[in-house]
Amino acid sequence: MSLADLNPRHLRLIGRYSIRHAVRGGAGLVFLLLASFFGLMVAHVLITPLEAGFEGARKYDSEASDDQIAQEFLTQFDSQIEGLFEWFLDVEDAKTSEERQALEEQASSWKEHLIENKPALLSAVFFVLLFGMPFVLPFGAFNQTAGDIGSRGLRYHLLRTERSNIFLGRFLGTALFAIAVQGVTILTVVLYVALKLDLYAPADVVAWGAYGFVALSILALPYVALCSWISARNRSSMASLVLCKLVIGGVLLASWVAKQQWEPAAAIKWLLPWAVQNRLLSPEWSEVGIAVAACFGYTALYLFLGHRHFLRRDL
Amino acid sequence: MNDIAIEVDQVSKSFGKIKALDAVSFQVPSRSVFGLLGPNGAGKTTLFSVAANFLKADQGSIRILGIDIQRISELQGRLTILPQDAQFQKNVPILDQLAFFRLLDGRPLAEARQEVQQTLDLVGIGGYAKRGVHALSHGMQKRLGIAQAFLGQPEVILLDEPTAGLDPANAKQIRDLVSELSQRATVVVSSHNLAEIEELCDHVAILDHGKVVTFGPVEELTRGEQELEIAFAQSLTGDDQGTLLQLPVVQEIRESGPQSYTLQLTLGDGSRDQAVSQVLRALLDRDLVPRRMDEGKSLENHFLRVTNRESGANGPPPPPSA
Repeated sequence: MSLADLNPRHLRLIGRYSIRHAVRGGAGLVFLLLASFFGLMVAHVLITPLEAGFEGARKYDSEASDDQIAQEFLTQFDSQIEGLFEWFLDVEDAKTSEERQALEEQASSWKEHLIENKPALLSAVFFVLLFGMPFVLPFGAFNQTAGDIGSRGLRYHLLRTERSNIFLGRFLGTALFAIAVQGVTILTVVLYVALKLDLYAPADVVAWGAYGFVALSILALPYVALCSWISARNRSSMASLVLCKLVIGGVLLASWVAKQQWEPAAAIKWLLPWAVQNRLLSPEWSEVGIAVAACFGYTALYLFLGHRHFLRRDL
Repeated sequence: MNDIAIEVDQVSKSFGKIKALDAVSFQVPSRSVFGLLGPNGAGKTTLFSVAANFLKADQGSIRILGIDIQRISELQGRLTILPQDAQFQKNVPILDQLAFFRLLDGRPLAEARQEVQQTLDLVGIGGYAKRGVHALSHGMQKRLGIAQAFLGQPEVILLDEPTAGLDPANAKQIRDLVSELSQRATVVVSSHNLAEIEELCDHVAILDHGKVVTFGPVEELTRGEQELEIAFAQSLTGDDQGTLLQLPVVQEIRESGPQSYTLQLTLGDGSRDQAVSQVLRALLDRDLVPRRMDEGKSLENHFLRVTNRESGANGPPPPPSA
């Protein structure tokens, strides 16, 4: 069948059923807890020292205004995370002085955008989440079809809807569930930073929080789609989970190892969105656009491969 | 209305080197209860799986209600199946799972839930509607599978070993349900329980080693295998047996136990009932009143003959994965 034969009503029903029972199922709960734990832990690690220092300064320097103390601590915090951008943009790997200069300029514009123009604390949280969420997402997405293929439970569905509806409906349900879980985590952090910490204008925090949520949502799509593909190829949910984790972590690791041996081999990382995903936070809209397009492109590619296999395989 | 509900044409399916189905062809008449018979590994489940589009056939085609199963979506709501080894989701209440199937069929939620509850009541597990599958015994899970196959108004129902694992009372209940269903749908039942198939079905196909060895109306197939088992209060004398053997419908008499005899019948152009009434008249003329009469094992005899399993002639072992 072609995609034109998709039944929107069935897609909606299957997606909704998938979300409802993801929460009831053990795997969905584990993902909910892990994603929330990871997100809040990142925020905790970044916020707590700042908060403690802020309180300490208030205590010992009672003459300084809150604004002055906040400004001082933000300056310190900002200087600590400045090095992140040079690492991310591989400034140290520049082969010529011109190249190095160009990368440093780029790093400088990232710093200005994420530290000076936006709430730096949230920028740091988003930066870590963009790197870490791909490792957490498989916990919520590994079992889209694998378990039901193994138990042959899909056979009860197959005379009632098309294979395409099952595959894509479950992808949509899983993606929406993952996005909702990320949303709850980000909302918690944003509310805490906006209401509890008096460091940034609440409107700035909310606006940047919304941007971060959209960026993380777009990032979730290719990884959930990758898990859809892997899940459709396996009869065992456990094998699917292990493969999802191995592929996502393995590609990054293999790219890093390959780079040490033979630099062109580092292109392995293009098998997944690793090479472009952090550009979702770029100061240049053109780069953001490329990153968004790449995420959608990877999503379409993985879904195409998974869908093709799911249509042909014995169920 | 088309007289043929299912048309299987030259269907082949292999798993590696094992040929599970080998150019299988037969037709299932509309509104019949059709039995798919065969020993373990004959290819029954594989054929059901191909018919339901779970597996793709290597060759051949299957048309159900005139629609090629490649376009299975056009049969949504008209064809249901009880797969042999499919499991329901463990963490979802069975009412929700079955109601979801009816939602896919296009029913509103309230009606779907009501219909599911009625069907679960029909198969005797209505009290478990809000429980998970883990709360059900094996037999109850089988009945749950049957309930999902009965949902809605299917025109063709495929039941793969519907009574396997059920106790006799439950098996009888399921057979009664199937008989009732046959009033409004074509039912295909696979089994290796010959007595069950003989009781339920008016047509059969016998599969062996992935091939159809015979198919047609049960009465026609077993015409040459008709038997009548009769028990008396005393043994038959030689004269009694001679009288019976003079009847044109009685071909042979064998002792099958103390005061118990199996008559091999030759029906010719007449019906089985006519042959039985001739035998009864002859017995009553000699003041011999049967204590018990049984139809015998005509289908079993036919099955054993066509699958070459008489006298332990079992042939090669069946393929394990079919």
